[in-house]
Amino acid sequence: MTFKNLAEKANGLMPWNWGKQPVRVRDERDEITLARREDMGSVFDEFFESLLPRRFGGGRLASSARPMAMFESSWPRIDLEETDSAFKMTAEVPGMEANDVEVTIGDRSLTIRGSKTTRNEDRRKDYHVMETYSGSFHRTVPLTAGVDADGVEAHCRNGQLTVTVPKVAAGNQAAKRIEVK
Amino acid sequence: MAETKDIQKKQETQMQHGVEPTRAGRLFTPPTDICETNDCILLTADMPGVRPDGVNVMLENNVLTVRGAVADEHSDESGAAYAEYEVGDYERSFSLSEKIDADNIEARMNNGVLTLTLPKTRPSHRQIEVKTG
Repeated sequence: MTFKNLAEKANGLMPWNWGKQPVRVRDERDEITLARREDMGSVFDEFFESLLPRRFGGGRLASSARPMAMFESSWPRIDLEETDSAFKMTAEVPGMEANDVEVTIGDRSLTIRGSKTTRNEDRRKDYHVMETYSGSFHRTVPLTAGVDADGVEAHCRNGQLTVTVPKVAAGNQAAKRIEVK
Repeated sequence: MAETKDIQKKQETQMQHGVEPTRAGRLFTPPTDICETNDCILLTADMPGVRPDGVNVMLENNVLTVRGAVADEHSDESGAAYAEYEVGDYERSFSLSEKIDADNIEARMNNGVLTLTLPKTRPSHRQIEVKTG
């Protein structure tokens, strides 16, 4: 792989463009798994990062932009919709009750975390097929500024989580006039 | 990103040749766990977005077919800023061995997870009396 290809590839790995700024969608799962995964991936990641020129940020890449992240998929899958008045995030969380999911809204981010325990891990040897996700999860979605943290609503129904984050009405965001003395 | 997207995609169900789906839209294979206990086989399929009344379980010629119809609550796609999954129905078939008691299969749908309990048939031990003469 030539250096140019590599650079283009790394650049193209950015998950999604929000206002032309690369936005990072973070995925942190079971910490034990994560630690093991990082062990595996870090050798490759460090190698790739060492090849990246400074203009790509130098140093560490966003986790989702690391080459090894290509081989992992995130759980749960999320969709994000934006309307004039709100952001609406939906996530597929089969088997989760409302109490099992923790939704937190930060300054510019929305985080969901919890633990999926539909599989009885004590009886692993009795399983012939294991395809579903099992374990804890943690995903963070970045939001633009101007959301109303008090008006956030979350519903969990039929294994589908819906979080609605209203935007602050434009009137409240109007530039504040500073008196010139 | 293209590679990542491919991995994240749900697995689509391959329709058998000559079989046409009766509902428009995508059809996905639900990820499934199969666990065997002493007296039954437990089958757990993740079908997020499917209501209990949208599930259809059929048994025909020892083939168990599970279908889940999704109630599409997604609004117009024009507002989508970021999408990792597509909405569609679920379908998957399992062939059962002779050892399953087909009359007593139980299905339960809870929070988008379908749990099927397939009881094993008990081997009927019957002592045959051996007569002399």
